[in-house]
Formats: sequence, C-alpha cells, structure tokens
Amino acid sequence: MAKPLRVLLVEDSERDAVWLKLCLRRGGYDAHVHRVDTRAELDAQLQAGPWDIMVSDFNLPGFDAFAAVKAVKESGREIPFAVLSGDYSPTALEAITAAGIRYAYKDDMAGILALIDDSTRTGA
Amino acid sequence: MSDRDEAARELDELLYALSHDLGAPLRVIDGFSEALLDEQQDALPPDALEYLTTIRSAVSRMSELFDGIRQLSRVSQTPLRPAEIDVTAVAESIAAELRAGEPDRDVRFAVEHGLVTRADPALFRTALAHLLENAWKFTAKRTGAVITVGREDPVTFFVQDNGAGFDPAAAGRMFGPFQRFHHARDFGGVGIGLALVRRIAHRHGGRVRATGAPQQGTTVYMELP
Repeated sequence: MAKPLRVLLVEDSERDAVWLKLCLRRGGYDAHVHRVDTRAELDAQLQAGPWDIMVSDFNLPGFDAFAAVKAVKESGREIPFAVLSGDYSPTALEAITAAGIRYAYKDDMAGILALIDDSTRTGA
Repeated sequence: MSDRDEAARELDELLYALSHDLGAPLRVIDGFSEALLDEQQDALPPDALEYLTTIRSAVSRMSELFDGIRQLSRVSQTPLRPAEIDVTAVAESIAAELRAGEPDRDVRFAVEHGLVTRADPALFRTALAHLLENAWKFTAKRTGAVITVGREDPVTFFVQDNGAGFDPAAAGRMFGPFQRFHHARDFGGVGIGLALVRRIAHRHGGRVRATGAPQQGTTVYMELP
C-alpha cells in the first residue's frame, strides 16, 4: 500500500528531481513532489502548505541548504527537513552535521529513503 | 606540506567537475534501468530483456569507474590536517581487518616496530590500506605469502609482498587511474588504488615508486617528507 507524501523540494536540477521521484516510488511512496529553486518560491510554497517534508539540495545557484532551513524556521511551519548532497567533500558536510541537519548522498537511494522514512516518522 | 602548483589545481578542478556533473545522469541511467528490469521483466520480450541486461552490465562497470573518480576527487579535496602518526599501529590495524575478512588465508605480516610519520591521518590510512589490500590481493595464489611493512629511510615507507608481481616495463603507468596489469579473471578490481596512493603522496609533497617482477612480488615505496 503506497504511503502518501507531500515533498517540497529545493533543487535547481529537474534531472535530480526526477531521480528523487524514482527513489520515492521505489521506496513505496505515493509522493507529490513540488520543486522550487528560489527563496521567494520556497516562502510562498511553505505558506501554501501542507507539506510532510522539505528536502533541499546542498548547493544551488543563489541558494543553499542553510538558507532553505532558515526559511522553514521563519515560516512558522513545523516541517521536518533533510538535505541531499551531490558533494562528497568532508568540509561541506561538516557544516551541515554541525547544524544538526540530517543528509544523504544523492546517489544513495537506500540512504535517501532511510532519511525520509526517519524524518517523516519522528518529525523534525 | 607543499603548495599546489597549477597542474595540480587543474586536476583537482577536473576531478571535482567530473564527479559532480557526471554523477547526475549516471544515477538516472542506473536507477531507471534497474527499476525497469525489476518492475517489467515479465512484460519484456526476450530481445528487449537482453538489451536491458547488457545496458545494466555496462552501467555497473561505469559506476565502478565513476566511484574511482569520486575517490580520487575526494582525496584531492579533503583539507590536510597533519598530525603525528604511529604507522606501525595503523599497519597492524589494517592487517587485522584483512585477516578478519578472510580468516582462512595464510599470510604472514611483518611490520617493523616504531614506524612513525607526520601526515594527514585519514589520507595516510587510506593510502596504506590500499597498499596492504593490493599486497593481500596479489598474494592470494601464493603459498607462504608474506607482506612486509618497513622503512627504507627516515621519510620513505614500503609495503612489500611476494605475490604476483608485475612486468617492470609497465612500471611507468602503474600509478595511473584504472591501470590493471592482470586479467580480471585472475585478480578483480578497478585499478584506482595506486592512483589514490600517488595522489595522497603528492598532496603531502611526496612521491611513490614501485619495483617488482612477474611472480616475484612487488614493493611500493611511499616517500613523505
């Protein structure tokens, strides 16, 4: 029985959005994924709601995961968030971990699903 | 630690660009072909299934190679955090892991006592692990296998085995990425280990070299000034 999931995705690559949708389908989710790539769109979508989770790319033009997380906190919406990283450099991810933000590597389907399962089960 | 020259900088940038930008289309090809095979195999005619299986095999190979590039990129990007390293302890720790992975193998490790160096601990361990893994792999068909870790001079360590060895004429290219000197049926692997070791040595301002002969073992030297 597919689990419904509403995902607000901060990502500039449509290809990477397609990949996430595949991961979610393979993981047994019936997911509605809405992609945004600017702060303004993110703010608007956060208000429009409801969302089960916000997933953000680590880095995108004019934006990054920290800014996305900040937007969620400022929206007043209690939504769990997770970061997907295509970047393996340890320094990049140290900052994310230090901020207490959970992440998975973009090409790790099992890791992505575990992260989303965890985040949506227990909350932010 | 040495400054990076222009060539090293360009290499790092190329590796980063490759590992970042190739990764996206590759995972789509990998993921969707796997999903297709998994979800549709009963519905596909035999020819289509054969084509798809062939694609999967090639993608699998590409993934292996790509993983090698990513490892190379990672050792290029990681900032160096030099510290004093007990090389003997690291070697013994890796040896224990290798034994634990294949307890039936009869291999003697001879690790010189009191070996120390100053380098980035994570990268140093990665380099030594690759050298020991290679020695472990290439002594698989040797009875009385011996792997030695020692010091040639105060700044140069070596890992020596009495295994399959290599043709000295090929010594020049053995540290290049994806170089494999043995047939896949004899010894598996992608051929990235020595390229990683070389990159790590170079990042520390050091060098690598190797000596050996067919069936007479291999010695890899790593100099870390």
